[in-house]
Amino acid sequence: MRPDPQGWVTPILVAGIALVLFLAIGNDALQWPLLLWLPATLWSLWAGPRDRTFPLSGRLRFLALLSLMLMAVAVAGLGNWLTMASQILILALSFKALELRQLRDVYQVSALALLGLGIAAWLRVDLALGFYLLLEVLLVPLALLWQGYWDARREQGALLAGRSGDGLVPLRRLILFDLGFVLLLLPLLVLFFLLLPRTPTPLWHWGAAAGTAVSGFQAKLDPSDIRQLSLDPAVAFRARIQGTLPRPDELYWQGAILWRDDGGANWSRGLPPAADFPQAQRADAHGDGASWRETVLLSPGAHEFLFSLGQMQAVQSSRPVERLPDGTWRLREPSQEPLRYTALANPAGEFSPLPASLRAAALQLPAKIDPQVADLARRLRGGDSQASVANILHWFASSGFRYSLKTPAAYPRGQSLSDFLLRTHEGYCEYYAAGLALLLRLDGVPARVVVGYRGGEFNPVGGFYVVRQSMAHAWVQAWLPGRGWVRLDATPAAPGSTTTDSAAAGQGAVLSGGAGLWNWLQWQWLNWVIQLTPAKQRSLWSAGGSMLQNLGHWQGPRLPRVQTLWQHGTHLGLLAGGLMAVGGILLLRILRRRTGGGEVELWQRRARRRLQRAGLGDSRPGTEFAALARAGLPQEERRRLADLIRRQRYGPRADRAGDEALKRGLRAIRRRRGLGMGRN
Amino acid sequence: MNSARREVRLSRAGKVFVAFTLAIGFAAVNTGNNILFLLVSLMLAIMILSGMAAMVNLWHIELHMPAGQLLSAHQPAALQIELRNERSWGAWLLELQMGSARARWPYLRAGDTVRISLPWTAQERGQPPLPELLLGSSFPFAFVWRGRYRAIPRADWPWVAPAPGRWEALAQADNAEGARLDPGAGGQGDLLYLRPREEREPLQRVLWRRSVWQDPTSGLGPYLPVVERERDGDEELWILDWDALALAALNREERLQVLRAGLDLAVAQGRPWSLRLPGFAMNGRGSLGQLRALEALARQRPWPEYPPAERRQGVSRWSRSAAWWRGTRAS
Repeated sequence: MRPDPQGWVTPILVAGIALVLFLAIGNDALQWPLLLWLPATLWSLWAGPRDRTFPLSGRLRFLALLSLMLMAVAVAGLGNWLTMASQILILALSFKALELRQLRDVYQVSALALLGLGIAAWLRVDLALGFYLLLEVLLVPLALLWQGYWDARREQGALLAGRSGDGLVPLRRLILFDLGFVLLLLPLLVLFFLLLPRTPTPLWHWGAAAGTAVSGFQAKLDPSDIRQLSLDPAVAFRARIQGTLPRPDELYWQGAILWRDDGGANWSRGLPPAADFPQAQRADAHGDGASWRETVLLSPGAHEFLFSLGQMQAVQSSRPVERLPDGTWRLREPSQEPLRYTALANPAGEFSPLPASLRAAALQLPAKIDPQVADLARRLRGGDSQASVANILHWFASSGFRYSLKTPAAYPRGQSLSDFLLRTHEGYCEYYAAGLALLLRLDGVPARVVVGYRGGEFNPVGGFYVVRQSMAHAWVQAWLPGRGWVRLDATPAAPGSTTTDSAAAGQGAVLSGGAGLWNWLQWQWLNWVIQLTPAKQRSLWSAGGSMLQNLGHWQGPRLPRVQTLWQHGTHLGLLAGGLMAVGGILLLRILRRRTGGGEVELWQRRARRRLQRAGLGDSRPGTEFAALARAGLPQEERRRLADLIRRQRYGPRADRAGDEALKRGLRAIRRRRGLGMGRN
Repeated sequence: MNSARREVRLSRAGKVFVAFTLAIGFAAVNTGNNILFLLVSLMLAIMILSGMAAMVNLWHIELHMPAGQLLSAHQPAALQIELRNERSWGAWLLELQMGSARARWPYLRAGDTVRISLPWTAQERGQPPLPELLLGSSFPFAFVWRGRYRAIPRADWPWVAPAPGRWEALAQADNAEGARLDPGAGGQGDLLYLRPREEREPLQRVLWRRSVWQDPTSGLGPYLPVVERERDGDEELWILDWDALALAALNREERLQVLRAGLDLAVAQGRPWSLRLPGFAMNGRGSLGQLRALEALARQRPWPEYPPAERRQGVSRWSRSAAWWRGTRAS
């Protein structure tokens, strides 16, 4: 039997659906069942055009699938249900590939695709998932459309025998339809997405995206932790700053503050009791006088502390947050999910005097201190706090310190803080922060270590900073009389490095075109899809209502308010709307061209409709003349109308003028009928 | 506004789709997960748009029944129905339903016309009312079947000739050997596909150009060259007479059925015949003139009482909902 090329379409589409699913699931799809899926798909590609059925009976196939599913459960292990579900999904797709015969089979593949997307939603929440979803939205309907057509065509095989010249024309038209369908689908999808009600307190907990959680930030100083982070290019968060943008070398994103020196380069939080902090350091709920309004979007990962430039005064978040006495902010319950919050912050800290209890906490020293380090501190001590700070920073700058993430060759098991300060002069930010803080405390200057991020890649598309895990950083705050907590950073620049210390050298990175666009899309995706909170949804509804009200009053929308609420979405919405409108028009033009809709044909069609509406015949050629003869019109009028019909309905020069004349003529007939003059 | 009745049925796949949407929607509301909300929004948007696409798919699809179709009562026949796509884009998965008969057409191009056969067996002679004709489609995803009833003008309804009755009632001696005409292929010289000339058939109707009728599948059978033979003088003529004494005891329909049986026999044997009905008379030979004779038998008034046309009755709301969920018809 000669293979029918159209028999390939369904297997190819189903293979495409499966491949996109595997990409969406990612690493969890790289399992042994893929070894079955591949030959099964190849078989379907071979058998489809030949209309062959798989040699195994349906019952045997079912038993084989059941056995393999049990095997998948055993291999993945109970509890490891994401891997298990991925394996079962691939097995089911493999067996479906063996029996792609009817629309029912494609329905089942579609259901599996839905299931697969559900699994992918557990594994990731990034923009790529959105693209895979879009691809599936294109492929699955196309497969359903084609198989429906193909089934009908096979059912009518005998009737269509003489029309095999159609070839793949229906497929091309179905693809066009599918594209148009998706084009119209997207705005409707957006509308539903924004309108569907959300509950502020969901009943069930949906865990974080397991597959994309990154190592995360930790509120302690441990050289091994930060070293791992420094090698991780994953995005920690994105932040949009409203207010005067700081210089690139001023981009210090403060997270947690560490008070207790545990010895060596290890520090922990050791937060002093709340009563030790002066009242002035309590939160300002309104954020009056804040310099920056920061919108921060934390990527999925382990979150506890919130990050901001400077000192946060007030925070708005979809999750409950609390302000700690030392001015840092954290989530009441740590979360793995992406989080969006808005913070009002000031660059400067408090100026109130440091209470004795806090001063004691900021001067705490480890139980054991290397005497050589103590000698060093003594040598660097100045007349007052400021002089001591200047001496120590000068010593760091002039003693040949250099940045390195590697362990010095002479210390294969790792170096101590004393080794770093006295001998190697080679390390990364944690050593510098711990060393600087220790020397300051030894010289009687209250100091604490701050952990967070430094630097940021500015994305001109969207105007926000991208902060990566590799920018994790630690620095020191010292208490200077009259100036409060002052930031000190002894970490030098890393030569040729893109990590933390390139930013430390003041090199502000800017994302290039493609990367910037992708990053901006990610930002929008996280902002408008993943982090569409009930509060944000309510504000959108209010904004929509206000816009409608304002439009109704003809006084123009209240721009400032609308602008505030829609500031991130207006341009995107306009752009998307414009693109869709242009796409729709283009599609219509293409369709019109492909269907041969010429000007003359248009007027001919219109004439036919006019005549039918007027009750003069039906779509069969010639019937209108018979109807006209029965209409009882005066001979002259009838002759004139018949000429007009001949010209507009059948003539090669049908045009607008003729259409208008025909309209008037038919109106006259209707009027005559209305007056009961139809018959003489 | 078009007041034609419509019918909408949810298929099994459609029910599963609705169930999936509800389940994912339930999960989305209870977890607050926006990816699930996105999936639910997608499915809702697909529901709405596919419904609109289904409606648009049936716009400006004209349906005609070619006039002058002739059937026989109690004999299964294929009713011809023309579908014309008046739009400038194609129509997909069209389906015609009439009673229990069903025919599908996968794709009708823009401006194209197609003739579809629907099996139907007429029970009564004359012009019995047709069952309701439903034009629908399961396009695009076969989740929902949507259709609209279409009225066929009475003038286009087919004529139904009476079923053959018991010929013995009018049996006559069959002792004449008339010349048989062969209406099939071959025959006279190099003229292929000759057909008998119908009574009083104008010669302008005949297409004489060979290039036109050379293809026997072109559907130009009625226009092929014709041949006409005169009856031999001594050839016996069967007179199929409405007023024959032998038929006096029969009622109108029985008489017509007997005449039909006689006509069939004459045609089968290639005999000359003469049909005489009230207000109508014609002569023929074999199949020559058969169609006209059958039509005359079908049109003979008065027609029998027809039972009401097969028409779906209005059903209660509960029955309609139940049928909708079962995926069966109700309107």
